Amino acid sequence: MKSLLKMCCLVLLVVFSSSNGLAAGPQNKCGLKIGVTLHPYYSWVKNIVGDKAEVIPIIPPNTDPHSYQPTAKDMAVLNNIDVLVINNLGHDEFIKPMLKAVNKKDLVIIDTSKGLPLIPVERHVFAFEKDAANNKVAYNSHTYISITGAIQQIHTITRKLSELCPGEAQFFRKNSRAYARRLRKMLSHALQELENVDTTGLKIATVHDGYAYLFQELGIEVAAVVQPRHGIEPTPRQLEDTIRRIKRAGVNILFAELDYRKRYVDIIYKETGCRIYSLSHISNGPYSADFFEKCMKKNLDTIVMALRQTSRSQHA
Amino acid sequence: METEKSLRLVYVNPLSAKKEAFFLLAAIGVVIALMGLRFYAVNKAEGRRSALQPFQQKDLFLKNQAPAMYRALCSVASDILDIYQQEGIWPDVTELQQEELPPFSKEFLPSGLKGYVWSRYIGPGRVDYFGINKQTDGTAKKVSDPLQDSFILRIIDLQNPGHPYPVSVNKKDQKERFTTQVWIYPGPRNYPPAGNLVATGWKWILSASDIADGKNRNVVESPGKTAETALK
Repeated sequence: MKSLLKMCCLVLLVVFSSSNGLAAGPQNKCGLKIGVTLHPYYSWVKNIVGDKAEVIPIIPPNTDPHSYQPTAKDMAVLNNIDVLVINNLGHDEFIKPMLKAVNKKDLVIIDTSKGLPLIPVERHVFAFEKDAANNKVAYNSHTYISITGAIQQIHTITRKLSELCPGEAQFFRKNSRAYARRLRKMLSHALQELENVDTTGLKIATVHDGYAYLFQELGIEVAAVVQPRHGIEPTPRQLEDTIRRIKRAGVNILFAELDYRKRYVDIIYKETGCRIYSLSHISNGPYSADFFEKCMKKNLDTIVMALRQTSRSQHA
Repeated sequence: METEKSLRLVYVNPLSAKKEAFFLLAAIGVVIALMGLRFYAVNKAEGRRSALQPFQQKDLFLKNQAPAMYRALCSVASDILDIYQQEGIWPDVTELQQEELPPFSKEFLPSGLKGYVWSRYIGPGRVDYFGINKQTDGTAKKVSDPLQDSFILRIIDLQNPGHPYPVSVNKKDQKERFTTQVWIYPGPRNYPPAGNLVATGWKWILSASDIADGKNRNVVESPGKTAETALK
C-alpha cells in the first residue's frame, strides 16, 4: 500500500513539474536571464525588468571593458543566459570572440545601436560608410553617454524584451517610460542651468571623443578632441602634443576622464591656463540600477559647473 | 691519352636567379591581381549597400543643431506609439507636451531648438508631427551649411492598406506593425498638401545603422514599385 502511495506521489510530481515546464515554454520566456556587456546596460535593463528577470553582467564589476580578458567563468555566464544586450559599435569588441566560442544558437542578441542616430569619428576607418567628402568614416561607440540616445536604446531594449516576454510587456513599458522621464528631468535641469551661462568666448575640448553625444544634446560645440585614444597614460610627447592642440584651438575648458592624473592636469593648466574637469565614462565600477543615473547626474553637474566657473572668470 | 679523352668542356653559367625571380614576380602579380579583384568586389558591394534614393539623405549631412532634433524625434516615436496603443488615438501636441516629451516639450531642448512650432496631421494609415522653426527667416541659410528648419516625424501603420509610401520594409521586421520615419526640408516650409513628401522635395533621413542593416534595400516606393529594382 505504501509503495502504491509513493508511486502515485511520484506520478503527480512528474505531471506537475511537466505542466509547469509547459507554462514556461518558449512562448512566454518570463524569468529571462539577460546578459549585458557594459555598465549602463545593466542599469537600463534593471530599471526596465525590475525583479521579473535576472540581469547578469558579462564582465566582473570594477573591470574596464578596454582591458578586459575573458575567463572560463565569464564564458560559463555567457553560456547560461537567454538574451544579451550589446553595443556593437566597438565598445564591447571582447564579446565577439566569446560569442563565437560559445556558439549559442538560441541566444537573443539586442543590438542597442540599431536604428540609432550615430556620430562619425574622424580619422578612424573601419566601417563602409562615407561622409559628405566621400571619406570613409567609423561611428562613435559611446552612444550610452547621453540622455536622449539612452532613452531610444532603452525603448529598443523594452520592445525586444516585451516580444520575448509578452505577459510582462505592459510592466516593462511602464517602467521604461518612468525611467525615461527621470532621465529627461536630469537633462532638462542641466539645460535650464546652461541657459543662464554666458558661453561667449568659451571653447571646449575633450580628452577623448566619448562625450560627443552628450555635448550634442546639450547644444554645446566641442572645439577639439585633444587625445582621441583614452585609457592610456600619455607619454611626454603626447602631453606636449595635447598642450599644443589646446593652445592652437584656444581652448579654455578641457574635459578629461576621472582617472586622468592630477600631475597632467597641473602641467596642462600651468602651460595653457585651461581649466580641467573630469567626466565619468560610465564603464567601470559597481553594477547597480542607479549607477547610470548617478554617473550622468554627476557628468551634467560637472559640465554646468565648468561652464559657469569659466564663464565667470572670463567675464570678470 | 686516356686523361685527354675523359676531359669534357663544361660551360658553367654565371650565378643568376632568373627562374626564381620570374616565379617571385609572378607571385607578386597574382597577389596584386587578387587585391584588385577584392577591392573591386568590396567597392561594388559598398556602392550597392549605401545607394540612396533621391528622396533619402544620410543623417551625417545634418548640421548645426539639427542632429539633436533628429535624435529627439527618433527617441520620442516609441512613447507616441505607447500612447496610441493605450488610448487608440494619436496623441496631439498638447498631450505630448503634458507628457513632457521632447521635442514637443521645449524644456528638454537646447536653446537653438526652442523656436520650433509643432502640429499634428492625421492621414490614412499615418500620423505626421510637423515642426517648423519660426525663429529662422530663411535668409540665414547658406548652401554650404544648410539649416534644417522643417521636420516631420511620420509614423506609419503598415497594416492599414491606405498607408503612404515610400516605406522601408525589412524582411526580418515584417511582423512590426508600425514604422517611423523622420523627414526634413532645408528651410522653413509649410506642411505639404495631402502629406505628399517626396513630390514636394522633402528628404527622408536615414541613420548609418539603418543603411548598414540593409533596411534601405527594401524601400517600397509605391504599392507596385520597389526601390530595390531601381538600384539594379
